[in-house]
Amino acid sequence: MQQNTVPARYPLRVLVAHCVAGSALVALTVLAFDRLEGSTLFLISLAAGALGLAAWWSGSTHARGHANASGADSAVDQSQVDTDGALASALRRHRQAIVAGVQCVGADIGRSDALLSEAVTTLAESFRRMHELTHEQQSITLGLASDTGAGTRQRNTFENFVAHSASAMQAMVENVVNNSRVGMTLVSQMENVDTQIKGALSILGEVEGISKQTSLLALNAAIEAARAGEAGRGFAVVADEVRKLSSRTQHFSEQIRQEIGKVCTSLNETETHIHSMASQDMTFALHAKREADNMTSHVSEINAEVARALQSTAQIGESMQCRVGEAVTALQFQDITTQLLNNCRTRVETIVAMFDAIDGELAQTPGRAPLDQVLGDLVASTQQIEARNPVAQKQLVGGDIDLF
Amino acid sequence: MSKTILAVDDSASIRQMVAFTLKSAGYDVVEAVDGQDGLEKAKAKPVALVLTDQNMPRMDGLSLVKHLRALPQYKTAPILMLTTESSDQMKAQGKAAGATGWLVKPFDPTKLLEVVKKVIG
Repeated sequence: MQQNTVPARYPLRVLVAHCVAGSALVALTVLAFDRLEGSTLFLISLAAGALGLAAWWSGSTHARGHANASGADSAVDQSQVDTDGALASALRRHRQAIVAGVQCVGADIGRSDALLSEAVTTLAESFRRMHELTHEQQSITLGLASDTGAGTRQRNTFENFVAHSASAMQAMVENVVNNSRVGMTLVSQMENVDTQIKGALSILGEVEGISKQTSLLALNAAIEAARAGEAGRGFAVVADEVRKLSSRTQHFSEQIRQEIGKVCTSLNETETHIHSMASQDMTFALHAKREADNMTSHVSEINAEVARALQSTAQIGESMQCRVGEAVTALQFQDITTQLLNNCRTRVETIVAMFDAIDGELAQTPGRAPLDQVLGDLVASTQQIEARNPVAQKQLVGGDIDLF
Repeated sequence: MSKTILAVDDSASIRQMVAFTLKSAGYDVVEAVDGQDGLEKAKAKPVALVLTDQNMPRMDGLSLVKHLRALPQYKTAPILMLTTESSDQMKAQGKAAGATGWLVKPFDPTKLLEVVKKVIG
């Protein structure tokens, strides 16, 4: 019956509005930190109930005053006193649990702050190290890719090596081609020598013919000398000597022919070898030159590709440093969040103080006037906390800069 | 010889990031955990620039600025506030206390270095 009487004098919509406002206030305070889900729900429900009860208390006071002013009967007054007593009793009975829940939220906030601080410190150190390594990498790649410094010296050395190799290869090929040309000339000259030797052999054939003819003449002369008898004896001696000379000439001619034959054989072999060597060297040299040209071209392409890759790596390093800079800006949310958490903790402490004050007032004076005063002071204190909130940032972008 | 900057902040991560940003640009950095610590370190070794937070235990940033300005060696030395506080009222208090500039957190490393170069070269 009592429960039916109070809502009639204290509109339900006002009670609901107070509960919703209380819930929203606490929820907004803690929902920013979703690590606190379990205790948050607990706190929201407790705080909503507590604020509802407080509002109900306050509303019933107002309603009772209004009832007194309008001259309500004493039965109603008694009923109100009973209701106030029941509410006071309920508040005192549940105070410990409510305060414990609120303190639990405070502890969670503290733990979140500590975890956040540790994580962000580690992250910041990781980014610092990453930045150092990236910087180091960028220096190395820039050194290799730049137009000055060790990179250029190395590349110049390499390019010089390639150029010198190409030049040496060219010189070698030219020498080989020249040698080949000389070889071909030698072959041609050998052919001339062969022709000349054949000419000499032909002349030697003539000499042999003359020698045979001389021998025949000597034989005829010897026959004629023999026919002449004593008068031809001297002539026979001469004819014999001529025959001997012819025979020796024949013998020498034969020897010369044999020697020339050997020379011919040697010259033919030499000519064959020179020809073979000249043609072989030419093929090899031209092939080697083509290979060397291809290799030089390929090496130059690789060199250019390496230079491009180094340039790209340097650009990536630069980009990574920018990203690290952004991370440094973003990581500062820990400091901002810590300050917000501290603000939340202060609010939580205020809620605990609120319940302590309610309990203290109810223990001393069951009346509502001092309690209203205490609650009013605490609400004002909460508003001051909000006014002192050091964090106004809504998002993580670089802050303003003012130079005085 | 590189210039020394005193970074005062009760947040270890902010000190870490300020030091990292400034050191990467070639400055020497001395760190202090609050205004009191900052004042003692500034007295112990003269620095070219003081970069301080506002809300800190023991001594806040504005008090540190006032104490430093009372010292002959810091009469004209640049002192920058680096804080989450962004209200005009707080900035006016910083200016009145003798701060050289007011930087609102979070700071952009590039812009922080630009400001530092501007005030100490």
